Amino acid sequence: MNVLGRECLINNLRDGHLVVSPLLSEDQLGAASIDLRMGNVVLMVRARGSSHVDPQVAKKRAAGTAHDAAFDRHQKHERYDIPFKSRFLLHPGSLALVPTLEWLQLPANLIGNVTARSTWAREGLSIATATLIEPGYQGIVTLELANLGQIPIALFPGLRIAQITFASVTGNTQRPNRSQYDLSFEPFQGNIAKPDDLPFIPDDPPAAATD
Amino acid sequence: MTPLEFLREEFRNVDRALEETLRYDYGPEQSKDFYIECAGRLSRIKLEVDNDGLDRQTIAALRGDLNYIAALISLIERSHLGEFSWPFADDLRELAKPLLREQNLLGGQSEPIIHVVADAPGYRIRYEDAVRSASSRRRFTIVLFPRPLKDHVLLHAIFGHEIGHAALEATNAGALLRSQAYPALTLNVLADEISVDSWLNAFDSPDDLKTELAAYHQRMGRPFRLTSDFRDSWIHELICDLCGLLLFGPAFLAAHRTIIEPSHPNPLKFELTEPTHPPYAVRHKMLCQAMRLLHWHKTVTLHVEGDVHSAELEFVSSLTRDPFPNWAKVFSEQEIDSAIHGLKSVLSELVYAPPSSGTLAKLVRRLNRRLPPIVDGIDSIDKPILVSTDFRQILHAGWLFWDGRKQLEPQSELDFLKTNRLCNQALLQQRAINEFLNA
Repeated sequence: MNVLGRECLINNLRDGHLVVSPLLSEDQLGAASIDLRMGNVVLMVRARGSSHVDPQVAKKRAAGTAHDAAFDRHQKHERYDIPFKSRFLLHPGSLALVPTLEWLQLPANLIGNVTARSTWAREGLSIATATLIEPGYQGIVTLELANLGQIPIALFPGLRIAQITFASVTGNTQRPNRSQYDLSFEPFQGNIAKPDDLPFIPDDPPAAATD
Repeated sequence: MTPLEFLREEFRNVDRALEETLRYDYGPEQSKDFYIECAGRLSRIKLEVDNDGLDRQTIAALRGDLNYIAALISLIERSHLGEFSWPFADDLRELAKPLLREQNLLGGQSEPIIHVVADAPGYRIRYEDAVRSASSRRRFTIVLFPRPLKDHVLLHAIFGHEIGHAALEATNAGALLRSQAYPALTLNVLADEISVDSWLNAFDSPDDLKTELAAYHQRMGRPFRLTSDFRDSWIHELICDLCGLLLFGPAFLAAHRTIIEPSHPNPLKFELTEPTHPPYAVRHKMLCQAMRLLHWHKTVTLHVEGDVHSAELEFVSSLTRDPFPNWAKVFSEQEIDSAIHGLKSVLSELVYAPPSSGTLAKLVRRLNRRLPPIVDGIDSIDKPILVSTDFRQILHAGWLFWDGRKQLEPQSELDFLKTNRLCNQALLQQRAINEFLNA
């Protein structure tokens, strides 16, 4: 697995093989990475939403009525649209899902890896979780922002808060169960009870938990 | 409780309701002007409410004023940014502002408060006409987006027509627009009641319409007449259609056809009991004539653009296809040309300018690659290329892509919603580019 250097990144971007768009400044192009900017939507866990994260509750909801399944998907997060030059405060211990400003399109032979920029990491901003962008991905990238510091962090859409590196992948990357990535326009809640997880999740309600 | 006590109680309730709107997050800065204006109007009403000697008539009038402000306050609560495309709304504000600006009594210019809400079902711009000079300082213009069409920015081009309505009511632009377009459109069929009547009953008027007019005559005991109020309303609508076309270009006609045609089961007929709008066929025919006079029936892209050029040929030919009989042609080319010239002189730099061949082709190719249609790239010295593209050009490219997509290679599988969402994403990214370029 070879990580693409600046020259290779530029060549890929120039010929359209790889898309990270728009790039607003030359400074976004690093030695072997591209800086990503914060987009304009923030999803935060709703204070009066779910009591805890539990695949068993998700399984129960999914098996219920269409309303139950959809309700669960939509109730967990509060959605905020943040125009440019508007502030968003990320408090210590909070997790926020935000999109990148950039639209990405990866070819079948490249994989992306998203991390925090060290400048922001030093302030406590972590982009901590799922960071791999699969070959063939098309859309915005969802950044999972967490504040690991002791004081709130003010963020503004357009700030360069993350970076992505690309590495080449050998072999066929086509997945027989997923012909092509659907376009991803904004962050959304993931599914923690996927069909192949269900055999491991008990049907009985949790002993002391409520949803 | 006496009427005066109840008036005071109502005043306190409305005042409290206004304050409660501050509890919610409607998007920074977007509701501030609205709040300040409502608060100002309330404080001026309070001066009267505090007067102990109010008679019953004044109390009733003040209650009406309070109800009006209460209705305005509810609009703040329906302006949540997540329920409409705020990048489009911002672009629309910028486009509408110069037309809605008006001179105030102190000789300065008053900016309208353009407030955007998500509503249902249709597109509307409500221009506040009943300005109460005693209690208001700035006029409200309420832009209503249909809530279910949150992402459908291509359809939002229909707002060109609604801007026309608002501008016609505005004191400065309204008088100018009317004086420039009205004479040219009232030379012939719409000159007066008699000429409309001859046109409706002409030998070539549609059979369905003749039958309906005869049924009306029988039902009402008198023949149908398009009274001067409704004739004015037709002219008003037609001027707004021309304004929409001039402001949004071919994207307007595409949105106009898509939204308005389906609501006319018979495009040659119109509502006889409340005839506010002319038949759809008349509107479409006039817009097709205007497209030709503006040379927008020709392609922007050159042959060298290959499949995009073919797509544009299909787009413009489908857009200007006019299946309606000659009866629906109520204006000569000269009359429309004259109206266009007049409107252009008022709209001046707001008139839509199509992109270059290369830019339009780039935008369409981006869409066909499932990318937001903006112009970007990296130049020969490895610097990003940033271009400020007019949001209406993005809509133009979006419609070209949609109507001409079968000519593009490879053929796209994008549906209409995703095409719109990519265009909406482009409007958002374009704002970022503009912020960066203007810094």
